[in-house]
Amino acid sequence: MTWGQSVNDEDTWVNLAAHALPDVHIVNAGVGAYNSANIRRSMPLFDDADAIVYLITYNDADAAIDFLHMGDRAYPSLWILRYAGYASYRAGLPPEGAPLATEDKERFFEDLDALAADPRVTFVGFAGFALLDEVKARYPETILIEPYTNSVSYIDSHPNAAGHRQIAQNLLPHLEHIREARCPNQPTPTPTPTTN
Amino acid sequence: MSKAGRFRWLASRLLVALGSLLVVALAFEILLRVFDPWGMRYFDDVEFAARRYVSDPVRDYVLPAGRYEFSAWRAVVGTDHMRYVCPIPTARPAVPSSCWATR
Repeated sequence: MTWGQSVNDEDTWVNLAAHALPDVHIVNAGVGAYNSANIRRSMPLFDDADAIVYLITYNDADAAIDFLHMGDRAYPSLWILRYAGYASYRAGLPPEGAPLATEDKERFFEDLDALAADPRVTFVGFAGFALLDEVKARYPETILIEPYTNSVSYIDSHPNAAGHRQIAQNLLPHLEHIREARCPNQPTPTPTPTTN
Repeated sequence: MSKAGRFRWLASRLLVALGSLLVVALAFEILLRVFDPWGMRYFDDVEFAARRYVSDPVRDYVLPAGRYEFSAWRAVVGTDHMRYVCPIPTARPAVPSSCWATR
């Protein structure tokens, strides 16, 4: 989500935050479909960061997608078949809020435990998701913001440009607070947003 | 009506039905491709990126540096494999070309 799937560079919430906080060097460490394990492994790359913001999304606990060995996907050429196939797939999905696989949940919270041990890390998530409620219960410092209401499409639930503006708007007060807390006397601190 | 006549009548009706079905399916196909009401192009974008990911010893996989043109959006990835953060205020009407240079 932080990577900015389906929006231009200038529309990502990270970019909007960078504009709003021009004295802060902000980088977008998000990569498409990363889960909590990817985020955890990325941490050594940001040893010089003063603050790290991890926007946790509802699928960060899911198992990683093996993009490198996926091979070519065989989507049907006919869009009627694509739509029919997707409708069938959607109908077979577990209901929202279905419990996670035990191993995924254990891995997720192991990752979060490791990340939470780093005082530079702040967890952020969207209110109203069961997973985030659990994160908040375990890590009370977690910041829950209002979820975005503008998404790209029925299939692509990522925020569109307006959705990214909503996220930036809801997150900015917290980012300012993080800057003050982590870098009270530094003119150019370095928060590093990161997520899947 | 003779047996052969009934067969011809039935065959012609069947052809009309099949033709109608094909025309409707073609119309749906065109409409779906043009309007894409559910946003099916998302999967094309995912596949586009998935084909370009490279292995990374630390983070598992990353996108190589470059400028990526997806179905309806674009992204610049720097040599650090991170997405470009453009240091230009959003109030400006357009993104200057210098902002799109790969880091």
